[in-house]
Amino acid sequence: MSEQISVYDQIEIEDFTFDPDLQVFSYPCPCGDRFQISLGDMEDGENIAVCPSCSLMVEVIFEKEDLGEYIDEVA
Amino acid sequence: MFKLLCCGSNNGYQLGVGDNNDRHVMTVSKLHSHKRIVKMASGAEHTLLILEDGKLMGCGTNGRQQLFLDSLVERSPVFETVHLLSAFKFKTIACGWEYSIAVTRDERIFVSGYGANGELGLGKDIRSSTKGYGEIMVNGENRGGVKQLKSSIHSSIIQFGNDQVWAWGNNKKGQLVDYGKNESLKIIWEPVQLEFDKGLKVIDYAMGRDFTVFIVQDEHDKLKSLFRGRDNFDIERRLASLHLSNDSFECIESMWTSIHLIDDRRRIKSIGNNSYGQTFPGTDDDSPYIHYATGSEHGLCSTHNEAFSWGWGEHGNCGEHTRGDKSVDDVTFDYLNLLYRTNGKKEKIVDVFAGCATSFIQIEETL
Repeated sequence: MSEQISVYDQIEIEDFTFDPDLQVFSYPCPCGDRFQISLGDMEDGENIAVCPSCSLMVEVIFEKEDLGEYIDEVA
Repeated sequence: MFKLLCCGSNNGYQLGVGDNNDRHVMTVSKLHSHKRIVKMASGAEHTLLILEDGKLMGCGTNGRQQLFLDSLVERSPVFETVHLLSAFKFKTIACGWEYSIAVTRDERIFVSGYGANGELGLGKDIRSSTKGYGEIMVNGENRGGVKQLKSSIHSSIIQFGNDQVWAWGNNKKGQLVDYGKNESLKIIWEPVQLEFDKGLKVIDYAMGRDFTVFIVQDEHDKLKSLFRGRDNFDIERRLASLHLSNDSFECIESMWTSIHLIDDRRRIKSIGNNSYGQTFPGTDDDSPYIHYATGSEHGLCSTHNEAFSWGWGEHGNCGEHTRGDKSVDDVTFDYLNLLYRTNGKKEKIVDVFAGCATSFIQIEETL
């Protein structure tokens, strides 16, 4: 997927902040807002986090098994 | 007298213009002072500055108390004096994502705000400041005073007058110390002294988003670079291939994903992410720029009467395009874009500052 999209950078999942209530991962964007991606989307194989305030995107570096601890946290 | 102009990202009132609309042309920041600003720093959505008399002022969001303001104050739409600390005079400041560090002239180090990765440096598992602020108990006075203070979004490094270098905060990428197999060192909750090989002295350093570059001098007075952290843009290798001369090196600055070396002739050499024109587009033939500033992903440079921007400018932080044939897209400024020209002899640009998609130009006005 990232081949077709120009991503600003790659960020590892451990660097994201996970909000178990919203089930969303977030990470600082250079504009002052945050890149976001939902746990559900990542379970579906999505790996691009987007910023609600600008056009920048980052690719999330993770393995499917990395999601286990977050799925457990939500449960 | 002095005034402050601004443009760029402003969702959290970080430009100090009174509202939270982005600005695409230079606009006057509201600052109840005509004194000279000697230092500025900014985080995600907050901005701090120090006036020449040592007074600390701030604007933007205070939702995490990152402005050293009372927790009941959600934001400061214009620059206001930091009343909690108005008894002190300050010499330097730094800001990370949602926290701030302010050093007084008598070497006390205050921190405020929030950080889940040890950003406050106040001790294990302390993520926010109580009572409005905390104080880092590293005895700076005994170490020759704070010589340099820099922060990236989640970690900070201080160099003292005796050249000791101390750091704290997020170390998940090894940007402060090599954690080896010791996972507990991925977060450094209170300041630790950084070790360097014997005989090496840190001359300067730059903190990217999750890497640090140290410029060190060896026993033979030769300079070299040391890279720590995650390197997505081949910065370590490209830096190592550069010849750094002790005679000409002046300082190193950083954006989040690139570094910028400035020499004694005020020429700049950029290495790193260039996806949005972040590497300096000027040439050595350009007239030398007196002032430089690097923000999250854009830069500013100026002479006494013209200021230019380059890099990523989606929020108006690089101004509006002045070149019709902009080669890439609307948000990329891969050329030096004229951001401001002074009003004849009545104005002089005395400094520039760049934050997270924010730009500031300080003007001296003569009547």
